[in-house]
Amino acid sequence: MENRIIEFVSGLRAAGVRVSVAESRDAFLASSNVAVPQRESFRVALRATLIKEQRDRETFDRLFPMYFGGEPPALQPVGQNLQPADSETLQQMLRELQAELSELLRDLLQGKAPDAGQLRAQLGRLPARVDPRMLPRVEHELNRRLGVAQMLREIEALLAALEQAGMPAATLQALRAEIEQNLQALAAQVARFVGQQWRERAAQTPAEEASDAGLADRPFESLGDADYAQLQREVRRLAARVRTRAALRHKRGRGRKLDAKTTLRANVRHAGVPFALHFKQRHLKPKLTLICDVSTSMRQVVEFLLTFIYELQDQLSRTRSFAFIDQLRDISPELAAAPPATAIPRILRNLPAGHYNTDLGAALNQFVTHHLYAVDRRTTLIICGDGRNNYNDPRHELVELLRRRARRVLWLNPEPRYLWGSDDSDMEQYASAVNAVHHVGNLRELAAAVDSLLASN
Amino acid sequence: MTGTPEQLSTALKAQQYIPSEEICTVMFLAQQLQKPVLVEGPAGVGKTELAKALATALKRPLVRLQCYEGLDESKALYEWEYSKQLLYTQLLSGKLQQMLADTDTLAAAADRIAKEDDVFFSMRFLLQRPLLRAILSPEPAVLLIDEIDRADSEFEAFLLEVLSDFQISVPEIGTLVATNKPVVLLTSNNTRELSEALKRRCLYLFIGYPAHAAELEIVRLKVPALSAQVAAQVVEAVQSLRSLDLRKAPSVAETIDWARALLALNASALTRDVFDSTLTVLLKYESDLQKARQMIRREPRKPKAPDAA
Repeated sequence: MENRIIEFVSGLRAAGVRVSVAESRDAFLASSNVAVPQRESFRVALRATLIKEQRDRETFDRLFPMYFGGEPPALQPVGQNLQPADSETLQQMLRELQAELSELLRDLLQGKAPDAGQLRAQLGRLPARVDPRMLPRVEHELNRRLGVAQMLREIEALLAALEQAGMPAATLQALRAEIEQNLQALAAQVARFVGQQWRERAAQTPAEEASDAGLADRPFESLGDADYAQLQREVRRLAARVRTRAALRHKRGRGRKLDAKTTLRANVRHAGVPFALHFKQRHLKPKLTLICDVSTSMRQVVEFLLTFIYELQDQLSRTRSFAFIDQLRDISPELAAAPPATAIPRILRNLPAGHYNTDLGAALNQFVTHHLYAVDRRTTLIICGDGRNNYNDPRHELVELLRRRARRVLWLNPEPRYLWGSDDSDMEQYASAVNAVHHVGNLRELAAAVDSLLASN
Repeated sequence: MTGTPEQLSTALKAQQYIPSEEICTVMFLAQQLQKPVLVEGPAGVGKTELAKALATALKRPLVRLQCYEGLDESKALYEWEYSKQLLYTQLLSGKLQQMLADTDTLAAAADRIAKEDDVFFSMRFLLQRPLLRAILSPEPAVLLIDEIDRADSEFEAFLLEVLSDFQISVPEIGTLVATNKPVVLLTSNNTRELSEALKRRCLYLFIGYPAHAAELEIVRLKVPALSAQVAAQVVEAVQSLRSLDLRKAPSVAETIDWARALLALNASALTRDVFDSTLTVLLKYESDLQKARQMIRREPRKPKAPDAA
């Protein structure tokens, strides 16, 4: 059992769940404290010690039966309990259809499942690092290669032929039930085999380690969907770091002024000896308003920016977010209602990206007309966009208006400076209208931009 | 201490708390392994209630620490009572003079006072806050650290030290070690990501919304006076409301509130009028209310649970 748990832990690691050595030790201790025969409590014990994130639960639930599932049911020979006459009909029919029936079906009727060698020959070698969520598809593919679909058709044909040969309906029904049972057993065996293959591969592949080290420095446009989970992790890690720094700054920052009045009042009970010092409350936490371009070219940057900002909510006093392609939309309620990991993809899904229809000028106009209250003298306004306006009116005077109204206006642009002003880019004009432009080509630059935003407040 | 998860389950049920098998097993393991448990889940599914019920079930005192932004050690751990110390020194000054009367030199006097150090640096002047109270409790306590996600991350780091060793060093006195390790429950509503280190040290328990049967059992237990038929309708309605895309899904606590409200109104059945007029007990946002009303309009007789629920 201990070996099995070790194997299971390495399987979890291969599936991308972080499990520390201390946690696997806890799993041992926990499993020795519950009775293993009680499978449910054993499962709960392992899950409580190994899985610490709600999102990893699915992986756990998928892998657990692969390691601790027990034997799948065996196939049974079909037609053992038939009346002699019916049995004779069945045998005769099988002899007649001999040529038309596949080997798979004949084996199934005799209660034989394809052995491991056959299955392996069909499946081939699993590629390294298959996401366990893909395993049902692998099973499906294996079933297809074994010819299960063909077999199902043959079964129908066989049963129809038997009916024509005068087999009573009740017997047919029983026969069908037996075959169904064998089909289910076959599916279970295939699933088990695929699971075993995956386990073998997982045991061979070393756990993913530190491979996300370079991700923060890779440009956004070179990041694929495959890196996505790692990137999310990286974003959270960077956000945690920025948060710690911001919190420390908050605590130790210069300008911590003694509040003499409150201190005196609080220390009256200590006979005026100032034991407890009180400091002036400062409002260091910035108030943010974001305007994000969510056109195709900007999606990834915006996604990470929003994740970043909303991971840092406890370091901000108030955040409002707007998204636009050609129309401006207030996305704050959605972000307030759900955690960033679920809210942001939902928002992006609801705002389908078109091509060549970005209109920042119009969006700014809408913002100024309808949402100007979201910017006051304590607000830092962040505009995230590439400044490519499809030759629409840039309305940079509106940015200027906003700058006069806001505490600061920052622009985050994923494009390098030498591309500004080329083609349909109005970036040069915008750049002169805002307080600062940050180039955010990768995660690290994004983190630095957000950090400086918190620092200089 | 309860011997098995099953015994714990019975003990919790006696406290009017209906635990799932998972909850019992994890709580049992927490006692066996002496590890803190991190309980996550949506608001109002009974995370805090679990700690309370556990404390009563195990017949242990409950020590509760409510976290909030800006919570620091002096609020969570201990505070040195300078004023009390000062007061004692002043009141005892006569006695001190008497004691020092026969010393000739300053050094001898200082030595004699040094011998009495213990009086001035003793637990007497330590104002115990929840964490210290839980650690020093003469009988093992249940320590509930509520809504840890609201505290700052520095506090979380500080908590790590306390939770891994169950000891606290107080500069004035020395290291205080727990004689009886408390059972620790941390709850989180997941408003921010907790640190990996903290999660590693804890067992993890997620409490979601209960299934239909379990919720019905809870309602029947908490509001026994409500008729069985209405209780069933209430649970069915709540379960189907949760399947809507709401801003804030109704929690178990709100289900119970609603059941109580219906009882107070003496409703004999959950008709549409009753549903309409009491819905505000259950849903707290205007947009959610509208969605719920739309739902019952679509199903004119009464809200019905979907198959999945």
